[in-house]
Amino acid sequence: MADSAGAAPPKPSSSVKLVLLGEAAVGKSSLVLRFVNNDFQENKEPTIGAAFLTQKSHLPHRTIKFEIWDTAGQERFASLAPMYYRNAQSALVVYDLTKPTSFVKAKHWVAELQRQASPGIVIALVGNKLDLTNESSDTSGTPSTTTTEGAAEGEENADAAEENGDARKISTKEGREYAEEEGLLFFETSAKSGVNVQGVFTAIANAIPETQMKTSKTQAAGGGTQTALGAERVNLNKRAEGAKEGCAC
Amino acid sequence: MTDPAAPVDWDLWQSVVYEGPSAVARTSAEELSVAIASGIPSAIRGVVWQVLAQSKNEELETVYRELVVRGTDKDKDTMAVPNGHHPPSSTVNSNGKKKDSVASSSSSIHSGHSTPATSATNGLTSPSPSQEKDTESIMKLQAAMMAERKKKAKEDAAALQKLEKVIKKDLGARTSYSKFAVAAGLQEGLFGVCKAYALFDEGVGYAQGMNFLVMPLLFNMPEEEAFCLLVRLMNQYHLREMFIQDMPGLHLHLYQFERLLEDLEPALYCHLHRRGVAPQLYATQWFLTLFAYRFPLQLVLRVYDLILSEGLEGAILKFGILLMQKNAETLLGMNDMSGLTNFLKDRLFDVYIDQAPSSTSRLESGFFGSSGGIDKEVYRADLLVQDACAVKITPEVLKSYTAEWEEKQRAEKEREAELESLRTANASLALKVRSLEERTEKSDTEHVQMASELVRTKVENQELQDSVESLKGQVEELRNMVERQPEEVEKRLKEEMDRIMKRNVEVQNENRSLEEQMADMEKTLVETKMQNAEISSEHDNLKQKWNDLRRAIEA
Repeated sequence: MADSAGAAPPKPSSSVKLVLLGEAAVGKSSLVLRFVNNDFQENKEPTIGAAFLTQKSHLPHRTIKFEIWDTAGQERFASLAPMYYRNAQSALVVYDLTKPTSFVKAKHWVAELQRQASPGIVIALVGNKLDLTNESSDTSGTPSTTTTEGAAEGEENADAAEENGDARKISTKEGREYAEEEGLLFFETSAKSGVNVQGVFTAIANAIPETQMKTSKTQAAGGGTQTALGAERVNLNKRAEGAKEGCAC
Repeated sequence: MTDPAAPVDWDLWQSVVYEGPSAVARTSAEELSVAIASGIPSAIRGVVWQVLAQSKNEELETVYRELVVRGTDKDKDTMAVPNGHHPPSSTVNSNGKKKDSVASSSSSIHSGHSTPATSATNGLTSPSPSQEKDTESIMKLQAAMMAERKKKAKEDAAALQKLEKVIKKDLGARTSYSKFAVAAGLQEGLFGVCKAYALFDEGVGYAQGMNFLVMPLLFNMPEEEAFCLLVRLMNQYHLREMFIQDMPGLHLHLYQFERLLEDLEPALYCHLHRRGVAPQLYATQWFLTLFAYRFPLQLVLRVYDLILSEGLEGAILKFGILLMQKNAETLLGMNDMSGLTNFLKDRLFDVYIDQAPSSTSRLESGFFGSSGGIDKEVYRADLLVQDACAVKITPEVLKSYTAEWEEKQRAEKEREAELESLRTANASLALKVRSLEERTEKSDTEHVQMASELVRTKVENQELQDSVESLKGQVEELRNMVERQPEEVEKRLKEEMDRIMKRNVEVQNENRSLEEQMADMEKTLVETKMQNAEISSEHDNLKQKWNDLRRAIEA
């Protein structure tokens, strides 16, 4: 397959391929819908295969056009995923703050991306459904139980806790520490209320080096140089991202 | 072409229903395919589908009824019975059976939406207290066993609950079908079929997409029959291959589709390929949901007609290719990736919108459509099916592509295996390299040590040589000295001898003179002694004389 970000004539804005990964029903499509249309739908239908959307993000000095691949989350569709994250310059790995299993799954995706995706890929870890927790700031969440039984019970508890306003199962600290460890951007968002959603995409846009995007405009040559650049940057990048981590939230 | 005047060949359909499609196909194959191409009459569609798929299966329906209640209140009574397959003939269950059989018989007559979804869920909620007491006494006897079973049951229940939650999440979907399904009160049936299938086929479980697939079935038949048809579709029609782990069937069909597109619409294929719009990106949802994810129900029902009569593989590929062909021009005019993908996902069927629908076709579509407000447009469905049937995809071609795909997969697998083996080999070699490097390093340090030792030795050697040299000089000197020594010694000895000899002579002379002196002295001594003797005799004489005198005096 050819390079996937099919930019025909060179545009004033540079384009960035972004892929969303994460367990089923964590809110990937909802995040995209919020970002692209500033809209939210309860009970969104599951994504089958993948969906493709675009949206521009305006930064002070440049405009970035996100080409967003929103993938199906169910485990079964995993065999399709490599096709979507191939050549992606950035990835959103999403989990549900109220669901420990989704955090485990997110870690798997991060590992897979680090192993298989382009070397320079900018990964953002996003804990969604902040609206189900009782506040947007850090609560000293109890460490989550991740055994299967615990998870199942946890979900019941989540429903019960929702009434009290806090169904959080993954503390901000836990998410942030993991993100720092792996050199990821980190956010907690709510697609429902819109909290932090723009922030995620802006941060990704900022984290993508300008050089990389220039090459992505001229696609034919872009693919090659891009990966070359990525390979060069491999070491620097991780540290750079790690440094950025502090101001991410 | 939609021919609104074409009368429905009821006789044919009747014989299809009564004699089975194979019998009809033998006698009047042409007519049957023509009849299917012009659409199965909506009123009997559900029945004909089941006949075509030969899915009617009373036993399976019973299984369905058992599966669908699993985990619910009424299932609790049967929990104690292994597998819950043959529940004890309590009043509750016989009651349920009776109800269901009534339901299914009524449904086989067929009535569109009056699905007895409720039959499975109502009237069974109160467990009889007497039975509970019985169970209690049994429990006392088999307490340990029950505890274990309970634990297992609890785990199962947790898993079941999770499954139900996942399915329910997808039920609230916002697609037009789902809304329609909600409106038609089919939610429960949809949930039931999804749940029952997930429990029925553990290899597949519940896969997203299934719910879309099931909806068109539920629009045409009661849930237990839909379940049987789904089982039939999954197995005999190989739909299952698309949903099992890694989705091999899906990947195969996508490959076939891509190859067919390349063959039949090369320009479009290149256009899409160049823009990175691979079939995986848009056709996945067509195939997984049999076009039911986004497309108009009027047309999807016709797609199902063809799938059930012709087989799944050929039908979905034909529809897929047809849609690409019909939209080729539009697609070729689009360069923007998002435009392309969106069009491919949502608008492909638009070419079949009937701009001036006749009253009959409006009525036809309205049978399902307008009442639920599901499709705004009226589509020329007959034309679609006719076109699809006209798409030439021979089984031979498909077979060859399948073989190609399998070959590719095999090659891929081999490559992967090779890669894996290379990787392990590489790893072991890397290990070896490391150990060798370590050894090299060791020998390097050894070498350095040796070298420095050597230098030191050399220096030492030099020093030794120097000392040897100096010693040699000393030796030489000594030798010289030694060589010179005897002469000297001799000379000195001689001199000494001479001197001694001289001295000896002197001493001898002296001795001789001394001897002479001694002789002289002896002579003298003798003379002296003689004199002494003379003197002493004189003395004695004198003394005699003295004595004589004295005596003489005295006397």
